[in-house]
Amino acid sequence: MKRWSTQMTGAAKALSAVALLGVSLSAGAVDWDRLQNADKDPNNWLMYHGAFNSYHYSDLSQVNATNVKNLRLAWLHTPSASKRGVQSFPLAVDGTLYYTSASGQVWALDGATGEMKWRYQAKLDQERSEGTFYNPYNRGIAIAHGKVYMGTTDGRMIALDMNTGKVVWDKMILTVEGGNKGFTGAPLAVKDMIVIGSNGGELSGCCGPIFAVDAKTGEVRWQFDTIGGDERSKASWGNDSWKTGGGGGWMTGTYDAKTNSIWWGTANPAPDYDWGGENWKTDGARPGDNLYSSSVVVLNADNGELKSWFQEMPHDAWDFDSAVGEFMIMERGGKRYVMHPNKGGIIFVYDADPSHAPLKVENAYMIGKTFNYIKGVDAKTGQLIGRRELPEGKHTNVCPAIDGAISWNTGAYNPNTGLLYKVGQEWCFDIEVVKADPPPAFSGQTYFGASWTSTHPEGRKSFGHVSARDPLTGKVKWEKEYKYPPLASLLSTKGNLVFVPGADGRFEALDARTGAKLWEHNNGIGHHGGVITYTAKGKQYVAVVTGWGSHVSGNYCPLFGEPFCSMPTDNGQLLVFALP
Amino acid sequence: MNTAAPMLRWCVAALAGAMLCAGPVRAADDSAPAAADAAKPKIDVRKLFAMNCSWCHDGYGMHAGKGPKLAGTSMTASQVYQRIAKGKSGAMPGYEKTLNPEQIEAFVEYIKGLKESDG
Repeated sequence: MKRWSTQMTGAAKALSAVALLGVSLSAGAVDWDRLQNADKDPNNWLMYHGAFNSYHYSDLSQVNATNVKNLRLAWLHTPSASKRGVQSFPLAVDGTLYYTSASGQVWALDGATGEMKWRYQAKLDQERSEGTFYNPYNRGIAIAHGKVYMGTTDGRMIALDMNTGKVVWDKMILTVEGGNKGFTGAPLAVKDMIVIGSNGGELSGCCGPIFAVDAKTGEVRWQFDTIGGDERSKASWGNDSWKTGGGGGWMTGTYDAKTNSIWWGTANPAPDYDWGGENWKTDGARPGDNLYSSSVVVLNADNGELKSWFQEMPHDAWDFDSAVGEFMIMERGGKRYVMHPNKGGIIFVYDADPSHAPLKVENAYMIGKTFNYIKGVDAKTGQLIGRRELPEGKHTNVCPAIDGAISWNTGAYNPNTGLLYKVGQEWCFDIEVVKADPPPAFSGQTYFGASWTSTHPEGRKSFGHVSARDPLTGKVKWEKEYKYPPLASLLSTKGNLVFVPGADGRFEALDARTGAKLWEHNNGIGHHGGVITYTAKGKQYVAVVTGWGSHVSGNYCPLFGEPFCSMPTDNGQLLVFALP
Repeated sequence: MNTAAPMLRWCVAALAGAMLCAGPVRAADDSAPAAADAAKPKIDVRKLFAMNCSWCHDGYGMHAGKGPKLAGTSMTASQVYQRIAKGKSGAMPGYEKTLNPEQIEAFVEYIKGLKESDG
């Protein structure tokens, strides 16, 4: 395959030189040009996915496969109580590390020493925040135009001065009347706008919006409703069920400058689950395909208009939404592709050209192994083959479980090895689906209709794996099995490394070429957040967040026992590693 | 919770896998009792559980999941009522705005009726 160029541009070299000299650039230097070239700026980690190509890859190689065995803890930071752990993705800008912890806290620390520069604590509407399931964690921030941007669990967006932490603006974006949902995902800076999607796939209420707000003022520039936003969507929800339909876009998408498009994944429909069974096109709580839930949407970055879409899970009967994961943009043979993972364990490879509507599927392949909710996926069309519906009543050994074969955290793509590194999770559940009464439209109340119990795949215990494969064909180069499925994001580097933050607290570095374990450190508690690398004063650091207690991690105690049953769910840390 | 308040009689056949239901204690009057019972809606606790609790509490509360196993809880009935109504900061939303007192009482009766050995 054609490998992605790792040659640094002149601008990137200049940035690197400045960083290596320990010179601090002004905060305002994070402008749109710099963000667009983030993939060529290895000294910094400027956005949730590292760069718009979403590779979660760094060109840094001070720490490499030869010397990683000497990696040591350089410093750590303990935020105040962080219920459900620290799930944030740190960002690094010119020697300063920024990250969030639970309940609306933002921290700015010296990247070399951990010394605190400033801290911000948002004053949240606790009753509203705690009225949703998606609380009190936060998964990250955006940095641009001299500001740090954060969404809150009570539906606001806040901009802070990145040098002082002082509030520049604080805007209510998603009102109670507007759907009573909130924000937990990291925003994305695009031009002079900040884009963020709401949570709430399991909450009744229109319309699962994705917003773009003005970076300077916080005023909403555009809003895209993932459900009920156009006639095509409304027509795909029988009996006007879009009014209680869930949706949202709770994780961070990306921007493709070539087409001026925002790519975003959307959440599952409500109710979760639907009792309609085989007759889902005409019967049940939400008859029809339920557009644009469990879909990829491609939006005009300037006005939010829908350019294209692909529904990865038509009438999602399993809670396998498309909000999870990354949009990796890559090129091979002169053709551009976008790779996107779905919670159901499928990797979809799209033509990056959004003039195809729906999107053109170039390939689709499973990375899950023990699935039985479908028999497979059509590689040419992306259509599901042999759906296993879940009508009202009991169903045993449904695989994967509601937690999915792929969770919300990201994989990594290393352009030097040409390999995609991705976690897969293998677990199942028994479920009883009931006819739930719909809550009031637009209420934001829970809309479930099932009870379940986690189980193991037939014949063996639940497990996880990290695989290395060609991202476009899915061909596996190597695979490493884990007793406990990892839940955190992965990081790959030019030093031929893949960092894997483990569920049981072990933080590993693997050889990106072979999967061989080269280093590990026991961080003492599970990981389900971000991992990045950056430089400060010319030295490479690797930063990872710890802490346990996400909704998915709750199943580890019943499935695996210790160490998960006694693992705290109300704290976490930021740990930073470096060579001596 | 006012433990004297519940006037509900429970069919705890749910523990054996059947539908759990509740009906009011029949009033001692001369009117047609069957018709009076029929007029009052029965609370289907398992359905309510599936709608409100299952995201965190597995197997109708008989197994640990995202939240703890409810069967065999050491909490008193009053504590269970308060937890459902008010929630637990950072862990569980309160339901006093979405469930009425009778529904919460029904959950209390159901949860306290679960035996740890059932799980």
